[in-house]
Amino acid sequence: MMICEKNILCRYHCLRVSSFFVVALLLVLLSFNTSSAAGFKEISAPELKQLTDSKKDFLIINVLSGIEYAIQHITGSINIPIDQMKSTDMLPLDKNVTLVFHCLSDR
Amino acid sequence: MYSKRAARIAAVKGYNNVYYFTGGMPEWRFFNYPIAVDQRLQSVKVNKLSPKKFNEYRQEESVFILDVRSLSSRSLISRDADFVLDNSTLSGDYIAGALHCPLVYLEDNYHLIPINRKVLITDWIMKQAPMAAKFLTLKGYEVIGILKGGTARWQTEGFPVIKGENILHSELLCD
Repeated sequence: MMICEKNILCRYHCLRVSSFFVVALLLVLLSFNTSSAAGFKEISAPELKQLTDSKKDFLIINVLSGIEYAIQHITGSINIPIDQMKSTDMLPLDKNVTLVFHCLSDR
Repeated sequence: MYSKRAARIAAVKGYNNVYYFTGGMPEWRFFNYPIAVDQRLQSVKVNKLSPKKFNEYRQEESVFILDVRSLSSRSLISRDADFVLDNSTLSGDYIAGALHCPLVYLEDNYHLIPINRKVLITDWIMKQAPMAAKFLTLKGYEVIGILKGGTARWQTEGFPVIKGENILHSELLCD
């Protein structure tokens, strides 16, 4: 009888622990996919460098102020300050061009 | 924060391959990838003032206190094209008498700062102030210095602030 009760308890705990991990995993996956689902993705420095070295059509856009852009910017990037993003006509007409936005740092 | 917001706007505009580079300039520099710099702006020396020293200068009558911290997302959304140099867009706590010109608006509006006034510059955590100081110095302003550590340090060291909206503090950390 004792063994049986222990067994049931053990199974119950295992189920709780595994449920917790499944929920945690789902939450992590969901957070990773939020941006992607919104139509944009994150890119790292090496990935961006690879893009600049490739033959793909791309545009790097610095969304900081003109002053910050003047002081230093990624070679080849253009400046569209964030407050002008909605109204700008500096974005390419071709909607398939790869656009990479950056500011000082989001970290 | 800004890059993600910009990426979202581009996605809404219908662009199919949109990315945001989270690491920004610090990560790009860390990998030693190519950057273009403006030597003239880079070479301007900026005087960093301790809160105590900043406070001493603040007492002078002719001093103009400029706060160049970023706009909160709320202000960024609601802001229209007409810029006003006042303190209405200052989110978070700020130094009494400071007027707010976010760095993103400074290039077009610096002329609103009287050229005959000595300028003290602050922000939230000394992210934007050094660049504003360099820019205004090159435009002929007498910039006394910037507040070392920004208003956050000023407040930590017990100097008085006007209470702003604390909920917006986290928004000031990036840009």
